[in-house]
Formats: sequence, C-alpha cells, structure tokens
Amino acid sequence: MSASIEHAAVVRRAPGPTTIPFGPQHPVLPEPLHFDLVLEDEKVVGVVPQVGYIHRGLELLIDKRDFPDYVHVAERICGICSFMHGMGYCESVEGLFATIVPDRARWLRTFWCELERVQSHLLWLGLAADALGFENLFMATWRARELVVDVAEETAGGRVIFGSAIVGGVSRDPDDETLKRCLAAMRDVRAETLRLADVMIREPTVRHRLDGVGTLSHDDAYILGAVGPMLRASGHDYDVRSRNYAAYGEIEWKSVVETAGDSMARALVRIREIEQSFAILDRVVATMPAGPVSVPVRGMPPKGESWVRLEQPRGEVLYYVRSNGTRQLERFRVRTPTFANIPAMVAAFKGSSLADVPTIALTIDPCISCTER
Amino acid sequence: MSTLEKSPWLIHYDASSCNGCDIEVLACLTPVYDAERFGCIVTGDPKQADILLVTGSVNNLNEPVLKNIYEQMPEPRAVVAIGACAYSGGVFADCYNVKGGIAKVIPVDVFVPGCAARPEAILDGVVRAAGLLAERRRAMGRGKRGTVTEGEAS
Amino acid sequence: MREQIDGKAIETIVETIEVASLLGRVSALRAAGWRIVQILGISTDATIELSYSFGLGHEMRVFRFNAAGEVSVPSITPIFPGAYLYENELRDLFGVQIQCISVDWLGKVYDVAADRPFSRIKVTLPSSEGGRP
Ligand code: SF4
Repeated sequence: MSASIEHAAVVRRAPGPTTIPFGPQHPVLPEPLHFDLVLEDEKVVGVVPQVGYIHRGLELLIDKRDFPDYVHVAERICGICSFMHGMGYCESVEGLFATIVPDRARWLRTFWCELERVQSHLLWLGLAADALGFENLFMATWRARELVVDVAEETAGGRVIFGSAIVGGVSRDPDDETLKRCLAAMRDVRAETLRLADVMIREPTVRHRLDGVGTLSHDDAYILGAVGPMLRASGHDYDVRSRNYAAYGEIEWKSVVETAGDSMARALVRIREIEQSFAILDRVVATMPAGPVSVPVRGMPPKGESWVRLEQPRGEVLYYVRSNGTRQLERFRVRTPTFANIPAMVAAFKGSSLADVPTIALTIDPCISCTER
Repeated sequence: MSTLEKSPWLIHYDASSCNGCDIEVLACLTPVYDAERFGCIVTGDPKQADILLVTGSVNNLNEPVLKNIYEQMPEPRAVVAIGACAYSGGVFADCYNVKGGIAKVIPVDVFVPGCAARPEAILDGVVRAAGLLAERRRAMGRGKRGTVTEGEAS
Repeated sequence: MREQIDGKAIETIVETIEVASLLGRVSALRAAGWRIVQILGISTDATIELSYSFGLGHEMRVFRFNAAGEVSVPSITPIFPGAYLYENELRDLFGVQIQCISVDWLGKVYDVAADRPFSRIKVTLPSSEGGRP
C-alpha cells in the first residue's frame, strides 16, 4: 500500500487541459446547474453546459388539457416567474381569440408582474450575497422578501404560485384599499432593500470579486442571443416591456442599462430594477382603473397561431400557441430567458478563473427549471 | 412534540421540481420561518445529514443521484417528500419524462402537501421527521452504552 | 400573422422558404443586425415544421419550412453561434436531421426517457451512439 502511494507521488499530471464537473449539486444554487469546465491550470478555457435533470416535457401536456386548464401547468414552468408564465400563456390564447382584456385586469397583471420581479430580484440578491460569503445579508434580504411574498399572498392568493391569471383576465380582484395598504406595508422593504444593496455593492471584497469579472462584450451579448439583465448589462437598451403589453404602455417606466458587461454591471442592473419596479408598483396602484377584471372566453379557439413576448425578471420570454380549432391546442412552446442566455453564459465563463465561476453563475441568475421545462 | 432531542441536519435535493417548492424550502431557513431554531442546519454533505428533503419528481437522470444521496446518509435517517410533485408527479404526472413520486425510488416517511407546499407545512414535516428520527435512534439502541437517553432518565 | 397586444397589432412576418435557401437568408438577416430569438418545431402526423424566429427591436421575422424524414437541415451555428441548444433540442426531441452543430450532445441533450418524444411521425434516424460529450 505504501508503495503505491510513493508511486502516485512521482507521477505528475501531464500538462494540458483538465475537465472538471461543476454541479449538478452545487452549494451556491438550489437548482441542479451542471457544467463541464475545461481548465488550463486555474483558467477556464472551455465550458459545456449539461442539462436534463429537470426536463419534464410539459409542452406536450398541451393536448391533454383543455385550453383554460393549461394555465395551471404554464404557471408551474418555473416557480420564480410563475405569474408571468401563466399570464404569457393567457395572452397568447387571448391572441388567438382576439380577446380584449379589461383595463383593470391589465393593471392588476402589471401589478403582479412587478411584484414578481421584485420578489425574484430579492431572491437573487440574497443568493448572490450568500455566494459571496455574506450569510447575514442573505438572511436580511430574504426577511425583506417575505413581506413582498405576503403581499402576493394577500392580493393574488398564493405565495409563489400566484394562481391568479386566467384566460380573459385575472381571477382575483383585490380592492383599492387593500392595494394601498400593501404598498404602505412594502415601503419599509423598499428602504431596506436599497440599504442592503448599497452595503453589498460598496463592500470592497464584493467589488473585487465582481468588477471586471466574467465580462460579456457588447457584440457577443447580442449575437449569442442574450436577453434581459444580461443583455442590458452589456449596453443594449432592449426591454420587452416597451412592447406595451399589459399596462406598460400607459405607465411611465424606463429600462435600466449598464455598459460594462461584467458581473458588477449585471448586479447593478438588477438592483436598479428593484427600485424601478417599486416605482412602477406605486404608479400602477395610483392609476388603477375601476371595472371588471375578466371577460368570458368561450367556445373553441379559432384556428391559427399566436406569438407573445414578455419581459421576465431574467429577460425576454416567448410564448407560441397554435390551434387546430379544437379545445385542445395543438402546440405550446415557451422559449425561456435562461435558455437563450446559456450560450452567452458560456462566453462569460471563458477566460475567468475557476474560483470566479460560482459568482459569475450567480450574476447570470440562471433558472434551470424554465430552461428545461 | 414540544422539543427535539437532537439537532437534525438537513440535506435538500431538487429532483425535477418547478422551483416553487425549493423557494419555500429556502424560505423555511430564513428568518421569518427559521428552521434553525429547531437546531436544523442545511448541509451539502449526505454523510452528515439526518433528514433528506426532496422536492419534485424523479426521472431517469436524477433517479440514481437521489438513490445515491439516500444511501450515503447514516442510519437513522428520514425522508420528507415536499409538494405534489414529490408525491405523485403533481401537475406533471402525465409528462413523458416524469416517472412519478420519489417513493418509487426511496422510502418516504413524511409527505408534505401543497403545490407549492407552504413553509409552515414544510416545518411541520421536518419536525415530524425529527420525531421519527428520535424513535428510530431509540429502536437502534443508541445511547445504551454509557449515556442515558431522555426516555430512560425520566 | 398578427400578434395582438392590447388592441395594438405588432407584425410578425412569417415566410415559407426552401431549406436550401436557409443559410443565405439567415446570414442576410445577421448582416442586417437581427438577432436570433428561437427555433420552434411542430410535429403533425405527416411532417415536422420548423420555424426560425429572428428579432430586431420589436419586429419579428419567421422562416418556416418542413423538415421531415430524410430532409437534412444545415446548422445555422456558423452564423449564430448561440443556436446550438435549439438545434440539439430539435434533433433529440423531434428527430430532425441537423448537420454539423457546433456543440453536439449526440442525441443526449436532455437524456430523456422516450425516443423523439415530440415527434408524431415515424422517422428513421441513423443511430446516435455514445453518451454525453
Ligand atoms: S409541487 Fe407544485 S410548486 Fe412544488 S415543485 Fe411541484 S409543481 Fe412546483
């Protein structure tokens, strides 16, 4: 036995690239993200993403469900952006029927979308803080996030799976008093979030780990098809909310753009978006119109197809439905933001050092559940 | 049960869940629900874990991973299946790539209902699993060598 | 095809093309500053229809053609290097024969329980051997 140890000690690894797996169970992420990293010493020279741990094939359920019932499946594409998934599916079916959704429903949808964005970005901020070694900040962020989740529960009925989107509008109608009270309850969260984010991005050790790390160039981001904060952090002003779905056309907002393209820029985009979303929430409640919250959508969906694009916390998502004139739609397709971001993510990893891989992964904020569906 | 005898260490595995239940598991560990007040701590190492929390259903790819984690855990151990997916596949039960609940692969002690499961329910599941752990520990005759267990002391 | 958003119609132009002209059309779009949005497959009983979507600002343009059976489709990864995931997905889930994808999982991108689960037609594929790369 001792002989073999001595023997092992004199065998040197031949110089050249080594491949090591990152994931699928990695402490920084709750989800099974898996990469094969090709390393030359400490430097990442190649990355092969490995997916499939969460693939369910839920797009195929579309012809096993009636079209109004599929919303429940669509909401569970991903628990972090569940309302937007449900709503995106509804909008695409409404596109088939050419349904006009009542104003109040559009405003409520906007409210829940922004609530979800705040919730998702806070979740990200917490996980990022944890990955950078600030457990305390993680806990504090999640405590703040709980208040946002409480508002979701009070207004929509669910904590993570909101369950309030239906084809033709929304299923819940919180009154204006409730909405105002909820906003007031979130005022502290808003201040607290700003304070926490400020603590994080001023901290020299954080800056050291994020500044200039995992840079994605302006051109790469575009050509590789990146979306959302990842694209905007590389200097592209592209936010699908400018397509004026829901009430975004009638409410003032501005897309958040950074130009550096590094991990810090991606973090800053999200942090500024939290603040922006709180402001949108205020405006939504202030201008909330009265009226019904849904219109009945009956009968068979007309033959045809419909495309819808929305801006989720992680970026542009695309929904596609095709109907053959029966109650079961023929095809449902969702192209989720992380799916589009994977090639850009791979590009951001290349050239970084192994120790930076977890933090870069976090600033990209991948959502594996929606990627694999 | 009012107090826990030991501090159970948790390990969380995300089989093919939609993230909804995972977020709630994480929420359980953060200040508002605070599972740590029961002495629970999340570990990434199955060899140090007492309770396995599983969200989501099994498929071909994650089945061996799940089995592997379970087999590495020392006895006594307990398994908590969280959410409708972990019970039966939930809304995804009809999907071609979903084999069904995790009970098909490893023995489950506590099923936590919900889609998504509420943090309160998850906490309850953890506490129940901790109770089972204590029973199993006694059944295994631990503590007979020198130390006195709670039950015997009273 | 019209996409209705709040009564406002935003044009999504769908164009049926020949497989042979795919690469030419796609490179023309890239030169004009478009980006890739997605590739979609739809299987009917007889064929698999592919729709390549590209976006520029709010506009979207879709190239559509049928790719059943022996039709072999060139990979667009030389033009849009980020398209490899879509193409692997199409090949593994639908059985579309896409040639020369830059990052290739050899039929195991998801490692699913069924063979070509999204396809409703019978296609004979050359067997793809080997595990994940
Ligand atoms: S039980 Fe529901 S919320 Fe939980 S993972 Fe499954 S689908 Fe998601």
